[in-house]
Amino acid sequence: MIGAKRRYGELLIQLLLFREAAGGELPPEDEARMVSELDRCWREMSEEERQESELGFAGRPVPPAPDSLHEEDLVVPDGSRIGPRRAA
Amino acid sequence: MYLTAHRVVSPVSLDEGINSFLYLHGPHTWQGVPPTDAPDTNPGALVAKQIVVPPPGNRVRSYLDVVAPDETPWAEVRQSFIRFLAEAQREPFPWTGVDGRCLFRIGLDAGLAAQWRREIAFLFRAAEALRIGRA
Repeated sequence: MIGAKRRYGELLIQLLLFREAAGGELPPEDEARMVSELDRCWREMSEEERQESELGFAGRPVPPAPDSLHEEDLVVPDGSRIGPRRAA
Repeated sequence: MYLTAHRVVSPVSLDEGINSFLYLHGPHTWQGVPPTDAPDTNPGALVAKQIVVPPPGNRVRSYLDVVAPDETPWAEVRQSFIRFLAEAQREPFPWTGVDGRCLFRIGLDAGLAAQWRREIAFLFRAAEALRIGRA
């Protein structure tokens, strides 16, 4: 089904993000609801889409990141129109 | 609206934590994609903040920026954010992207990269708490 693979990827991100934000585990009813939706998408995907999804997630390396962001924060008074960080 | 959360570490005490800030531009200031000057030269006016490690001079280790019209429902921001992440995760940091009428930017240092999902979840939770607390 068109869109099932994309939806599957979004749901997986959502599930991982919500788990992390909840401290590792979601309430059972929330977990069950999301897993059920993942299953539904999985069933609607072609075999090729399933392989792509599995390989994409399991084999994905850690995204590269710089050693330092070279930014520092600053004091921002209420009502101010300056951002809260700048290049260091 | 410019909503940002960033993890900072004090160079003196080495205290570390996430500070978050909410700026508003005024209702219906723009429609659709955010203007190109937001947030860098046009962050809006600061209306709320949550400070864990007091500035200034702390080193920024990670950040999440969200720019959207002030009136955007949080559920819309969250759905856009999920779609943004689903696409962005293939790229090196920093990540920048627009989904619908929301702009997102995420940066983090190499020391946090191995746990990027957890870090983004922490940043998003801090930003969400400030925004929802203000709604």
